[in-house]
Amino acid sequence: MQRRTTFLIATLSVLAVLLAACGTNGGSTGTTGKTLVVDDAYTWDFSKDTDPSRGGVDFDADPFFHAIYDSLLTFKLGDSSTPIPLVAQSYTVSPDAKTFTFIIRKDVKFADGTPLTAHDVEFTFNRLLNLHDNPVYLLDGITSMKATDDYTFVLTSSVPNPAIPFIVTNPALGIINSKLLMAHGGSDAANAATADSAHDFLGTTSVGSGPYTMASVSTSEVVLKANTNYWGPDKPNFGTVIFRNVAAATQLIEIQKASNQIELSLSGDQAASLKSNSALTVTSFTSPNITFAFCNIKTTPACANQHFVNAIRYGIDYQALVSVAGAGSAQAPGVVPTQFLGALTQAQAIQRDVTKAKSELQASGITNPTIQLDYTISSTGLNDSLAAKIKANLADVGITVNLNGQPSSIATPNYRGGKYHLGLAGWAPDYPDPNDYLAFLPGQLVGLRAGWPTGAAPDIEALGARAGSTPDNATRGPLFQQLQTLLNQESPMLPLIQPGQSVVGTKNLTNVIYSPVWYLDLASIGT
Amino acid sequence: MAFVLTHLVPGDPAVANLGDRASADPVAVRIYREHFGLDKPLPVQYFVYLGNLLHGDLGESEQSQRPVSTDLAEYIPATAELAITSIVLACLLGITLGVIAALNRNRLSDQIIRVVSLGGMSTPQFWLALVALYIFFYKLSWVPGSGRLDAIVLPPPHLTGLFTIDSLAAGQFDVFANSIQHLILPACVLAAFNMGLFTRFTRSAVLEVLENDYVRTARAKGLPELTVVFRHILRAASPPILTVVGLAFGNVMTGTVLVENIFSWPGIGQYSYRSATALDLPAIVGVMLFVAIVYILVNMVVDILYGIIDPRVQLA
Repeated sequence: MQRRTTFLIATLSVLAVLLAACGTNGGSTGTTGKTLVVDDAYTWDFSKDTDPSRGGVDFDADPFFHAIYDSLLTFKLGDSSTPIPLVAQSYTVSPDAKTFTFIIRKDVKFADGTPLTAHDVEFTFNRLLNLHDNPVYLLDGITSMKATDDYTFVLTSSVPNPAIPFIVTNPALGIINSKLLMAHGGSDAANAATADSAHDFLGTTSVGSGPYTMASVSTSEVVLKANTNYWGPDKPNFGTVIFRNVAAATQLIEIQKASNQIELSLSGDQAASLKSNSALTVTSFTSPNITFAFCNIKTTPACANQHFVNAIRYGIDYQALVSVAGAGSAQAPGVVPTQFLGALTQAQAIQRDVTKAKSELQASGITNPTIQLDYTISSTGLNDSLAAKIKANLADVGITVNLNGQPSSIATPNYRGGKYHLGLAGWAPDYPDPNDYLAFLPGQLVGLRAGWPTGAAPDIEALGARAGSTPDNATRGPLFQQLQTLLNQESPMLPLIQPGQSVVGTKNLTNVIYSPVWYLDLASIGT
Repeated sequence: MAFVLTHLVPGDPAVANLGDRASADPVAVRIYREHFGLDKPLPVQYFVYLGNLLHGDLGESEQSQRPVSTDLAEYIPATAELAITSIVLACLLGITLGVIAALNRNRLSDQIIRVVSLGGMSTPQFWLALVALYIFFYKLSWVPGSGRLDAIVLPPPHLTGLFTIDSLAAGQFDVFANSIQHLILPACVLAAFNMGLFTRFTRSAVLEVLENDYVRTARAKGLPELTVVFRHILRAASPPILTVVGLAFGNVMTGTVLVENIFSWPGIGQYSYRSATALDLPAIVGVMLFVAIVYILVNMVVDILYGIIDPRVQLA
């Protein structure tokens, strides 16, 4: 009897496997019609950050939030130089660039059909401020956020801030359905950091007015469904978008047999290997991210010696770093990426000059210097390659570099805590405006990490304040160029490269166009 | 021990987990520390943790901001499904090949099996995973790509978290077929090492009992060879094989990170890796406790099976 039972179980098991093997790829249960698959090797935790006011400035999450939550202003596809209306039909800026008045459209509805008003905008902005989570810095300097009537929203800044129209395009400031969220524990009160209990609700339900809604979230993928109540003129092309977490090496294999699929994490070399595949569209371009080095004055006294910093500055072979970084990479002529207002041109970029570097080292009076280069060991190996190249470059000048690559869990607190010596780090744009790069000035976020306190460079600080508050872009652009020219002469900051970036999609897809703010506009992608 | 060692890792979880800008915002950092109890002295944190642990509370993950127990319950079934399948495959192949090799000692088949087992043990799993995906998915189209199901297939209603079982329970046979198709390749990759290991252990264990008098007696009695092999040889050779199978099972339950990464398999390996890189202390401690529990349970099951297989152990 026992033997018969065993035989029966074994036979059934074999039959089950055969049945499975004979099945077609993709079952019918629970399947949908037109589906777009987007693969990314992301680190963002979907189970936490389905709340735009908490997770909305994460690079991996931005396409998701942008698809679900409409913001006041947006950008035309492929052009992030000028904010255009979205939820706000128009906006005005006071002459002193301190007061911004947004007129809200009257036909905008949330996915549940509730009309969107200026009070929802006020709730969204207040909640983001009072939650004090990652995106809170977007509202730095904002003193008042007020719905003056149902369709007018006024933002007031303590200092002139012409970047506000760019900032409000950020997916973290996507407008939330305030009534729905408050009914499920949402709060915009001053104590929202502890009083808001909408986390679990937002983990299952999206509360935006965008072209998509969140259908499901798991640890490995997020599924978006087209918003059937979408108010906008252009309905999304795909009924379903699946955002999957897939390793780059796997993306490289899978895209070659896919349809309606996009891969976001392929390196320049991986993407280049697919260029001969006629079924794919490979786009490689220079990203607006900056990889930079800095000489930390606080941990390394030699960095206070400008001649020593210049010896490093002119000793680095920037073109060699560009070639190490691969397809699409370019030298960063300044801290502001070449795509943004106020960027320096490639002709203005620092060039390697070993003779000048050696004379600067001699002028510094420091003999046989040794410095530690701290950096995060990156999964792509790029940082390690850049660090090795810098070490070799500076050896030519007479500076000994000891490499200190660390895993991100250790390196990140060290970098942010200002413990790096000669540091290698990166900066991705929070919004496509040069004001985002004032963080590199003395006393500011990155400046402090380089041990560069307020008052360390009054000329640079004064110019930065002026550039950051000038309303007119025609004047502001040249001011930022002057500022970066000064930074390239007198600061411990050493802009290195803008790494290449690649997007690979199947040939049938259209409008797969990169945005520095939300990466991809999922609703615009068609066939 | 797990708690103390984890908290000795250099680095500040608040600074590591908050964003670039928020980590420089004292209010954001204070709120973060208070929320996760990091503002209290380490001994206080320890006793709070112990007290919660007694109630089955493993704390809240700093990354997912959910109870660690909820996270583990979500990730463990995916790994368990993969691990169980791979161990079953490794046992079937490894033990069979080991017996064949031992019965054909020093013949050609033995040599071939030894080479194959050595290959299985010495091939890096991440490399094997990529090559297998390239050949069987891309070139031959025998299996689907990464993930537990095709992108357009919805998971079955949650019962155990094991998609194969849940889909059968829900009567979704097409989902079952799809989950088996997705399971087979990563399970085979994961099984490769253990198959080699089991082959070598089985061969060695069988060779030890092959020359015993009771085996010769069984053969002299005219028993069929299969009966001799299964009843007299394999049973006697089982204890050391069982030991290594138990250890291997514990190993695949807790060490599948590379295979999970290549096959986008949302299991405990990916969770532990992400927790470690984000300095998510409660999650790291939770995973360590899980690993400890797995090994304790596996050893316990192996001890019980010893008694079932070998009556002498039961008597002792």
